[in-house]
Amino acid sequence: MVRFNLKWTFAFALCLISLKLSAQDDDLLGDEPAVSIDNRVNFAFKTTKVINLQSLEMLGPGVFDFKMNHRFGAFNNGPINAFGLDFATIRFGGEYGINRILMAGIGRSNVSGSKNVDGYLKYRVFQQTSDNKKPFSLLLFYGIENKIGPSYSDVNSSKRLTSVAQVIIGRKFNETFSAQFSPSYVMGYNSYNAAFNQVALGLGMRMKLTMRTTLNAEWIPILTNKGLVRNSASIGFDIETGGHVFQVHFTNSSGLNEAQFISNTHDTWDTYGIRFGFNLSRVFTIVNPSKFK
Amino acid sequence: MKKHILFSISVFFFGLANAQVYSTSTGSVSFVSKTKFEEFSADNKQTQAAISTDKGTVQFKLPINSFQFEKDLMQTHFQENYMESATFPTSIFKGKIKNLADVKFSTDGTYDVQVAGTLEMHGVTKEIEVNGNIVVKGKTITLVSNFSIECSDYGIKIPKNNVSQVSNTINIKVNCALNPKKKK
Repeated sequence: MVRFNLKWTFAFALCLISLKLSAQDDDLLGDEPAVSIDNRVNFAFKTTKVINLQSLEMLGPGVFDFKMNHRFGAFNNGPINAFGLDFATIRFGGEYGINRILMAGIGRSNVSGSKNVDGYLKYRVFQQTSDNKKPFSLLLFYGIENKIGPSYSDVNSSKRLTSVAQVIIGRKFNETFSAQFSPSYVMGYNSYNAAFNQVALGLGMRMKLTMRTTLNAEWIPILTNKGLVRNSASIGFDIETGGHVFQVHFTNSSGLNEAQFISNTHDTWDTYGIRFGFNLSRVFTIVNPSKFK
Repeated sequence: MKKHILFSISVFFFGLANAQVYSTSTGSVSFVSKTKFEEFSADNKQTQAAISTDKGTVQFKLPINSFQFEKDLMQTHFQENYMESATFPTSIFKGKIKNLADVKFSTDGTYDVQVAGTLEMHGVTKEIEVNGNIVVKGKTITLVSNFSIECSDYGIKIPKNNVSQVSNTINIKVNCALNPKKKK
C-alpha cells in the first residue's frame, strides 16, 4: 500500500513540475536580457549652464546652441540709473557638441569698458548611471579669455590672457534635485595687468518646480588670493519653452565668462550690488544624431 | 512502477516541448506624430517581443530611452517632459490572440489576427485591442501591426503651446521578427 502511494506521488510530482514549467510561459520575456539598455542619468539641468557656471549637461552631438547672456547694472546705482537697467553687459556666443563627450564654445562679451573674447572646451569623463555603478558625473572644463579693445592696445598680448581650469562633479539625486561642485583654478592677469592666480570652489544646484521650470542657485567662494574680489552668488529660474531655455536670475556678478564672474566680481548682495540678468539658449540641430552611432 | 514513471516523464517532456516560444530583442517599434504643422517620428530597434504559439499569448517590452529621433532636442523632450523615462523606463504590452485557430504556425503565410491585451505606458495600464498580421516564413514569425493610441489616455500632457506641434493621436508601427527561443 505504501509502495503504491509513493509511485503515484512521484508521478504526480513530475506532472506538477511540468505544469509549473509551462505556466512560466505566461511571462514570455521574463528571462530575456535586454539589449544594452541606456542607463545614463540625463537631464540633471535644463541647459549647459547652471546660471554662470557650466552645468553637468552637455550638448548633444551635432547640436549648436546659440547663447545670448545679458546682465543689467546693479540695483545700488539708484533711481537716476533706473536701478541699474541703464547699464548692460552682454555676451553673444555659441556652443557646439563635437561628439557625445566633447563640446566647444566661443563668445564675445563686454565688461566695464573692456571687450573680451573667450573660448572653452568641456569634456565628460564619465556620466552618472541609474544603477549607481557611477554615482556621479565627472566633467572637465578649460576656458581662456582674451581682453581686446582700445584700453588693451598697449598691453603685451600674453598679459591679456586669463585661463580657467575646472573640474565639475555632480549628481542628479532624484528627478527634482541636482547639485554639483566646480572646483576651479584661475590664472592670468587682472584688469590692472597684474599676474594673479586663484582657487575657487563653485557650488551649483537646481530644484525642479514644474515639468518645464526649475529654481537654480550657485555660489562661488574664492579660497586663495581673494584680494578685493567678492564671491559670486546667484539665484534664478530656468524656463523651458520648446527649443528655447530662458534663464532669468539675480546675481552680483556682471562678468559673463568664467575668468570674469569668478575673479572679477566686485559687488556684494548685502550692499544691493545685485543685478537682474538673463541667459537665452536656442538649440539648432546641425548634424543628424544618427551620424554619431 | 516503471509504467507510471515512464508515463509521468513523457508528460514532463511533452509539457516542455509544447511550450514553443519565439522571441527577439531587436524588434522594431516606431511612431509618428502628425499635426497640420509638424510631423516627426522615432524608431526603437531594441524592442523585446515574444509569442507562445500554443497559447497564443504575445508580449512586447520597450526601453523608452531607445527611441531615436532626428533631432537630439526632440529626444530630450520626449524622455524628460513627455514620457518621464527616468520614472517609467519601459513600456509593456501583454496580449492574447483572439483568433488563434486561424493561424497555422507550421505553414508559411500571412494571417490576420486580433490581439486583446493591456498596454502599460507612462505608469498607466489600459486595455487595448489591435489588429495585426502574423507572417510565418520558415522558422521566423513576424508580428506586424499598425495602430493608434491617444496620449491623453496615458496621462501624457501636451502643453497648450505645443498642441500645434505634437499630436495627441500617435500612430504606432510594430514590426518584430521572432525566432525560436533557444532552450537553456
